[in-house]
Amino acid sequence: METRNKVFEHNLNPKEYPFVIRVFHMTIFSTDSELDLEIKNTNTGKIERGFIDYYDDNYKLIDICIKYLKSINA
Amino acid sequence: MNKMIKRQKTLKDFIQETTFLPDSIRMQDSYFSAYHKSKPYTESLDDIYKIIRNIYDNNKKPNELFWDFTTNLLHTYMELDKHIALKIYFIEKYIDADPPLSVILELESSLSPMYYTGKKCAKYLLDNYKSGLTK
Repeated sequence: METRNKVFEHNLNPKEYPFVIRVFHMTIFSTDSELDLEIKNTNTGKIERGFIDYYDDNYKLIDICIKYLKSINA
Repeated sequence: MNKMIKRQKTLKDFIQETTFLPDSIRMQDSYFSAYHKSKPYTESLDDIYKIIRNIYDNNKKPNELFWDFTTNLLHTYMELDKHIALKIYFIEKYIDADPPLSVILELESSLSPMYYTGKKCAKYLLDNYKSGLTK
């Protein structure tokens, strides 16, 4: 959770990771919910490109929260 | 001594701590992935209010932190809705023109609040609902 927040705050060096992160700017030309990232491992030099789907992420979290509320309310 | 030696975190750890998905598994057609109608929330905000109200009315509040949890949940839900509305508004406004950088930054900053409140929700669930999370 800590790491995820740091990524969204555009912290380029997540704590405890040998990574440098580059966050590409969000686009408004589509409705997709993907935040593009590039991760460079400073130990190996290897670069990984990928994305964080923040809609899906929050959808799952809220879904679990609702299940919890229902379990109490049952 | 062993406690002082910390294992170096890896990409696998990063994936587990975030929702980062490597490019290799990116879906081909993700244009409408964000707000796809086939994946709406199961409950509306009103439905969630009613469940919470019922829990309080029937004295089922599990602990003192429950109020914090529900407040953060409602904020997370509303902030995501606000972000989606803002993004759709800007898409329509700048459909034929390049948006200024301030618009992009405003959109990105609108994501931050829900990650703050969402983190608190997740922490509460990990402390109070571990059995439910593994089902």
